[in-house]
Amino acid sequence: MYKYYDNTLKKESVNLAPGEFFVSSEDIIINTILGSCVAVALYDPELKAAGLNHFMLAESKTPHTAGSVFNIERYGLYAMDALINGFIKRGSRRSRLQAKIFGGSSVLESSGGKMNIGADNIAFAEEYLSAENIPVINHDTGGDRARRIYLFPQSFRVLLRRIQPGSQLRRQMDSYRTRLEQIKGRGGDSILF
Amino acid sequence: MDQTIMIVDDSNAIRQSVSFILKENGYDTMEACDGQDGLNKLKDQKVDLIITDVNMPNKDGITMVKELRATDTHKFTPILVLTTESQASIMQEGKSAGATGWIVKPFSNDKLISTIKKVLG
Repeated sequence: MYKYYDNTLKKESVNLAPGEFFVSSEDIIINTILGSCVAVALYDPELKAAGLNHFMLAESKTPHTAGSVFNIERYGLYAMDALINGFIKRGSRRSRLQAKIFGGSSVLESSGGKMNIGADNIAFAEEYLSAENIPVINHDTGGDRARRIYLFPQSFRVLLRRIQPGSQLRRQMDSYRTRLEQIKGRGGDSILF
Repeated sequence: MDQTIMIVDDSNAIRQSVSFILKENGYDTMEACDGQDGLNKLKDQKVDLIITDVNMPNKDGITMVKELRATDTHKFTPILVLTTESQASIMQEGKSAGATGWIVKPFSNDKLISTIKKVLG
């Protein structure tokens, strides 16, 4: 995650890398670039605060998966839980949250070797939000092009640009996949007092 | 007789996930959706272990732990905190409140079960 001043939009901005999340009620922009990853934007209209995460699943749902995807997918659960906790800590309630879902394209699947990962990521986000009774008020998902999204936290407005995936996005995705492979089956840290 | 574990978390998805893992490993489960709901359901109910989140509406997990430790029923019930929080200061708050242990999300099934087995002996 890094902060910078966006000269085009004339606002302080926070750029999220895969695996990160950010919640704010300030007049800034939270932005990220998505290939097959998914970003869920949440908004609490009472707090006038919004947050964004950026994740992909560490596991693939298979026909042999028992029951819900939640039973195998801890990393997606973590990405959503961490984002929602950012709201709860500010005094929000799940019942007030609204969601928008972005990403999950098939743009980078040929280099990763796994198929349907974008579709799996979208399905997970939808299933999670449904289980939490958080309404999805808008989405722009799937397709075969990458996206850059800009979230304005105070209004929950989102600007979206479709982009061609560059080498930077490919490197970012490969690095994130490697990290996910490393954490699969590991953790988390535990301490007995 | 199967051991019973109470799961306190405001996320339906997390409760569903943790309950699935515990049942697969032979435990019975109960669920509460926040700290206050946990206190209400545990008022006269003995359980073998409590697993709780920290950040929840109505009553957070650490306050719930403190209040449970003040009851005769749960003075000595093992309580594990399962949370995204990993800052030392919050873990110290949990320890001072009377938590038995702390697990940071994301967790693996094996880590969760091995920690529970250590606690339950």
